[in-house]
Amino acid sequence: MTIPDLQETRVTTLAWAYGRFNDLLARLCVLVAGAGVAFAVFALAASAAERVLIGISFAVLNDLPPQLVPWIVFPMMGVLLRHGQHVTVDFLPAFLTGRRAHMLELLIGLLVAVASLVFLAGGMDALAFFRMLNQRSETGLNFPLWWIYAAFPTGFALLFWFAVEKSLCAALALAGAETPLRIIRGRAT
Amino acid sequence: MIWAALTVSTVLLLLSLPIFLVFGVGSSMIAILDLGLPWATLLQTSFGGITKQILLAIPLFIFAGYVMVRGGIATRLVNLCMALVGHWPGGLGVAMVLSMGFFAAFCGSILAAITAVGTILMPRMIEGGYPKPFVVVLAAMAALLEALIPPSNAAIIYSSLTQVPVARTFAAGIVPGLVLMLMLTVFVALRCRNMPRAAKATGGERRTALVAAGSALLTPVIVLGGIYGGFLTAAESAAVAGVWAIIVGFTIYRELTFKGLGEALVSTTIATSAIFIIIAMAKFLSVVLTFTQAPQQLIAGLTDLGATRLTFLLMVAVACLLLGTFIEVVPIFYLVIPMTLAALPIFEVDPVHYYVVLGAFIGMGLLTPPVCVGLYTGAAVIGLSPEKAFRELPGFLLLGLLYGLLMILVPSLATWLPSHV
Repeated sequence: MTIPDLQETRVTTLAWAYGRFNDLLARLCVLVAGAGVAFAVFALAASAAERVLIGISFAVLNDLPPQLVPWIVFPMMGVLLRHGQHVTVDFLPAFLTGRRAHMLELLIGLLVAVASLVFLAGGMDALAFFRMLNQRSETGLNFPLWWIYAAFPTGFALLFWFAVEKSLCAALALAGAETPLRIIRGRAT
Repeated sequence: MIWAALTVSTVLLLLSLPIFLVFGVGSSMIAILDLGLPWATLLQTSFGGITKQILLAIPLFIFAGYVMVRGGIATRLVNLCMALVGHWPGGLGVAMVLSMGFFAAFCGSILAAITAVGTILMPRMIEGGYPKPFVVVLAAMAALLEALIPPSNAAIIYSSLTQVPVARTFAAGIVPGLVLMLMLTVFVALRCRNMPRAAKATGGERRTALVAAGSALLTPVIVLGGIYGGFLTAAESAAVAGVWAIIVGFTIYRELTFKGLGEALVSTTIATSAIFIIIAMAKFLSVVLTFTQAPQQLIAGLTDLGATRLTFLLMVAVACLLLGTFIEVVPIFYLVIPMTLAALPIFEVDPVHYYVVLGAFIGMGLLTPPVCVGLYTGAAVIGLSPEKAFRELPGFLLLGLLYGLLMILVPSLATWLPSHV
C-alpha cells in the first residue's frame, strides 16, 4: 500500500466513524424528543381521564409535560439543520448552483457554528445563574429547575456540532473529495 | 445598535440561515449589547413562552393528525366526501375542499392535512383530467381552512400571545372557515364544471361511507365537545384526540402499525421542533420590544397619521401579505402580534376579529412564492415542480384577497359565534 493510499484509507475511515457517530447522535436526539412527545400525549390524556372519571388529577401528569418541551425542542436543532428541515427563506439557494451553492452551504454552516457558540456561552452563563438560584419544580416531582434550562446550552452545543458537520461536507464538496463526502452524507441521509 | 441588528438579521435572512437564528441573533444583539440585559432574562422569557400548557396542544394535534393519516381515518373521510359531493360539477375538487374542511376539524396541522388528503385525492383528480398545477394550488389554498376551522394551531398560537381564551379563538374561526369553504366550492365548481364527474353515490353507498367514517367523525366531537363542555383544556383534548386516533387506527380500522406510530412520532418531533424553536427565539424579540417600547411608538405613529380602524387593518393585511411571501406562518404571528396587539383597543378591533384577519392574510403566504410551504408540500405529493404550479396562482390569490377583504369589512363573521360561547 502506497502512502497516498494509506492516507486515503485513513480519511475514509475517519469520515465513516464521524458520519456514524453523528448518525447515532441524531437518532439519540430524535429518541429523546419522541419520548417527550409520547409522554406528553399519554400523561395529558391520563390526567384528563383521571379528572373526568374519578375527579382527581396528579400535578405530575398535568404540569410536567409542558416543562419537558425544551428537551423536545432544543436538542433537535442540530438534527433539523442536518436534514435541512429548519424554516428558512430559500432565496439565494434558488439562484445558486455548483460551487457557488457549496460555498453558500459552507458560509451557512460556519455562521450557524459561530452563532451557536455565542448562544452556548450565553446559555452557560444563564445556567450558572439558575443553578445559583436553586429553584425547584412544583410538579410533584421534586427536581431542580436548572435541569430544564440545561436544554438550551445542550441544544446549542449539538447545533454547533452538526453545523461543523455541515461545513465539513460543504468544504469536502468544494475540494472535490467525493469519497469521504459520500460516506458522511450517506450516513446523514 | 438597532439598525446594526436589523442589518445583520436581514443579511442572515437572505443568506438562508434558519429563521430562529435570525430572530435570536438580531434580538440578542440589542438585548445584550444595547440594553445590557442578562442572558438569564432572555432564557427565562423564552422558556416561559414555550412551556405554556396551551402551546403543548400544537404538537399533540400534529401527532393526532399524523396518526390519523397512518391509521386510515383520512381515507374514510375522503371516501365520505366523495360519496357526498363527487357527482357535483368539479366534484373531485369540491371533495378536496370538503375533505380539507373535515380534516381541519380533526387536527391542526396544515402540512399534515395537505399530505393526508392530497395523497389520496390528488392522484385521483389528475386521473380525472384535472391539470396538475390546479390540483396543487387548490390543495394549498384549501389547507388554509386548517388555520381557521378549530382546532387550529394558528388559533392556539394567537391565544398564547394575546391571552384570549382558546375557546373564543376556536369559535371565531368556524364561520370564516365555512365561508372560505363555500367560496372555494363555488370557485371550483365554476372552474371545473366541464370536468368528468363521478357517478352519483346511491343512498346505500353514502350510508356505508358514513358508517365507515363514523369513528373518525367522533374526533371533533371529542375535541370540541371536551373544550366547550368544560371537561378538557386544549392540550388535554389534543392528547385525547391522539389516543383516540391510536385506538381507532389499531382496533377499528386496523391500518395503524407500530412502525406507522413510530413514524408519526418522529414526524411530530420534527414539525414541533421546527415551530417551537422559532417561538423560543421570537420570545427574545418580545423582550426587546418590551424594553424599547417599539409597539407604543408604532401606535403613536399610526394615530399621528390619522389611521382609522379600517386603514389599520388594511395596513396590517398588506404587511402580512408581504411578510407571507418570505416568511412562514408562525414567525409572522410572532413578529406582527406583539407589535400591534396594543393598538387593538385604540382602533376598537375585537381581538377575535383580528385573529381571523391575520389568519386570512398570513395564510395566503402558503401560496405566495418564494416561500410557500403549502404549495411546495402539495407539489411534492404528486412530484410536480413547484414553479409549474405558479401559473394557477392568480385566480386563487384573487379569491384569497376577496376573502381577506370580506373578513376585514364584515367583523361579525368572526365575532358572532364567540359572543355566544
